[in-house]
Amino acid sequence: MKRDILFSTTLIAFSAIFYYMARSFPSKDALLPKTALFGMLILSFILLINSIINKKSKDSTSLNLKTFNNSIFKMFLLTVVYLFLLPYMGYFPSTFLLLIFGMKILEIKRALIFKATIGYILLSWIFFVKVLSVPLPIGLFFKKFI
Amino acid sequence: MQDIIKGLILLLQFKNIFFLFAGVLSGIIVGALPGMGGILIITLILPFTYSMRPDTAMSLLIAVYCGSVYAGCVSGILFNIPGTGSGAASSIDGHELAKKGRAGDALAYSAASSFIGGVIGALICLTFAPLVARLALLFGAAEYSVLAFFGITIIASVSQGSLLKGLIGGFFGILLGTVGMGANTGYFRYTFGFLELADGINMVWGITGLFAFSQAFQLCKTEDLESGIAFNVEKFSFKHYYNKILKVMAKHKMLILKSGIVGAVIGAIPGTGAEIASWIAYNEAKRENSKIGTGEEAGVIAPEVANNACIGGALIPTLTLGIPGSSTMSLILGGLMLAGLRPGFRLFSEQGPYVYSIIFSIIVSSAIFFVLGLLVVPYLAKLTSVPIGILIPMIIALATIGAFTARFSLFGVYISLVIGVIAYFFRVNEVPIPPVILGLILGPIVEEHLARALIISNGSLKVFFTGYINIFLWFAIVLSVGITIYNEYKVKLNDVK
Repeated sequence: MKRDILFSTTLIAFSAIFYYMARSFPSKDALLPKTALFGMLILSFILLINSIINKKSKDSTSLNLKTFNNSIFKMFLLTVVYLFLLPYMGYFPSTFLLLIFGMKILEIKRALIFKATIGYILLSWIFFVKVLSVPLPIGLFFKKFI
Repeated sequence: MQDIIKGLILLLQFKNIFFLFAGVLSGIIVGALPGMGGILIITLILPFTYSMRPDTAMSLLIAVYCGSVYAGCVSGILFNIPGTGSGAASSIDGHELAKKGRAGDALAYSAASSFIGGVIGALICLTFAPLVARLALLFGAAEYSVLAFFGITIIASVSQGSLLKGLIGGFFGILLGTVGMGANTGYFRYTFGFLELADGINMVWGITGLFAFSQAFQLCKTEDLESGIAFNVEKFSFKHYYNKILKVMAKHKMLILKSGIVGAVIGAIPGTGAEIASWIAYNEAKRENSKIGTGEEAGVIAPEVANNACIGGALIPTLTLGIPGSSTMSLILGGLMLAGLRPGFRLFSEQGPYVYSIIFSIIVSSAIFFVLGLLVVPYLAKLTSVPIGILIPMIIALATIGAFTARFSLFGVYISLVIGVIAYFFRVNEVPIPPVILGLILGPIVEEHLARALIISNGSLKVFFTGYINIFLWFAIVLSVGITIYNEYKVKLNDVK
C-alpha cells in the first residue's frame, strides 16, 4: 500500500500544478481540463485515504524494487539515446544500434542478436521504404551524401 | 433490384477481385502493426486510384479499410499492443486468452466475428441506408455531446478491477485530449511553447505511447527474456478452427446480432467511428457477462463484430449525405469524389450499380480477410515464440515508425515516449490503460460539440436535456453507470462473504 500512497501523492501534486496552470486559460477553454483535473484530484485523494487506512492491515505490498530493475532503466536510457541519434544518423543506422545494444542489455545470445537485427533491418527497409514508401528520417549526416 | 444485380456483376470482375485481395492483404499487414492503421495505408494508396475505374478504386479503398480494421486486434491479442484504436477493446480478453494458451482461438474468433460484423454492417447499409441517414440527420451538437459523454461513462466498466484507478486513468486521458488549441477561443493549453502541440496529442502518438512504449518497458521485467511469451498454441488446421468457430458463433448469436446493430448505428453517426462502437459493444457484453476482462471469447467477439459493422454503418452518411462517419471514411469520401462520384441522395438513383458494388465490396473483403485470417493464424501465433528480449527493442523501433508517420515528425516520437513512461508508471501502479485511451478519444469530441451546443443555445444548459434523443441518451447513461456501480458492489459483497 506504500506504493499507492506514493502514487496518489504524486497524482495530487501533478493535478494541483496543472489545475493552477489552467487558471490562466479563458473560462470556456478551461472547463474540460479543470473538470478532468478536479476529478483526478478528488479520486487521488480518496486513493490516498484508502491506502493509509489499508496500510496497517495489508502492509505486505510495499514498494517492489523489481519494478524498477536495471534493465528497464538501461532500456529507457537506450531509447532516449536512440531518439537523440535519430535525426543525426537516420532511422536505419540508429535502429541497428538500438537493436544490438538493446538485445545485449537483455542478455540475448550473440548469434541471435545479429540474425534478428539484420532480419529486422532488411524486412523493415523492404516494407516501409520499398513497399509503403514511408519517408523515414535519413539523418543529417547521410543527407550530405544524397 | 436491377442496380443491385448490376453492382454485384461489376464487383465480381477479375480485376476488382484482384484489387480486393491485394487491398485486404495490405490492410491486414499495416493494421496489425502498432500505430500504423488504415489512415496511413489509405493515404498512400489514394494517389494510385486516380486512373482507376470508380468501382475498382472504391473496392481497393474499402478492402484496405476492412483489412486494417480486422487486423487492428491481431497485435493486441498477441502482444497486448493493439494496432489500431478500434482493436483496443478486443485486445483485453484476446490477450488474456492468449496468456491461457489460446492465442489461436482468439485470432480465429476475431477473424470470424469481424467477417460477420462486416456482413451485418453491409446488409444494414444496403437495407436501411435512407432510414438511418434520416436518423443521423436528427443529431445536433447537443446530442453529439451527450452521446460522447455516454461513451465516457463506459470508462467505469472497462476499469478491470479498480473502478477508482480506472476513473483516474480516464480523467488523465481526457486531460491529454485537452492539450493544444482550445475549441472555443483557440487558446494554447499545456503546449509549453511547442507549436507541434497546437493540434493536440495525435491519436497515434497516444496509442504508441500507451500501448507500445509502456509495454516494451513492462516486458523488461520478464524473468526469462530468452524465451517467448509462451503461448501454447493449439493444433492448427482449417477444419479444426472451422468447427470451433461454428460452435462458438452459434453460442453467441444474440450477442453478435446486438453488437452488429450497435456497430452499424454508431458508425452511421458522423464523428463517432469504430473505436466508440467497439467499446460500447464490449461494455454491453460485459454487462451480461461479468467474467469479461479475464479472457472470455465474448469479450473478443462483441467489439470485433461492432467495429467491422461500423464500416457499413459509416458508409451510410458518407454515400447519402457526403458526411464521413470517421476520419478514415473521410479519405474514402475523398476517393469517391476523385472517382467522379458525387455523394448525395441522387447517387443511389443515378449511379446505382457503383453504389451497390461499393456496399458489396465490404462483404467480399470480409470474406477474404476471414479466409486469410484463418490461413495466417498459425504464422501470426508463432510470432509469440520469438524471445521477449528480441521483441522489446523491435517494439521500440516499430513504435518509433508508428509515432513518426502520424505527422512525419520526430516530435511525435518524443511525445509518445513521454506518454509511454507515464503509462508504464500507471501499469506498475495497476491503473488500467484502456480508460486512458477512451478518455483521449472522447475528450476532444465532448469539448467540440459542447462548445458548439453552448454557442447555439446562448450558454443555456437546457439544450442537453431537450428532445427525445437527449432524454433517451441520459436514460442510457444513468442505466449504464447504475448497473456498473451495482455490479462492483455485488462483487465486493461476494468478496466479503
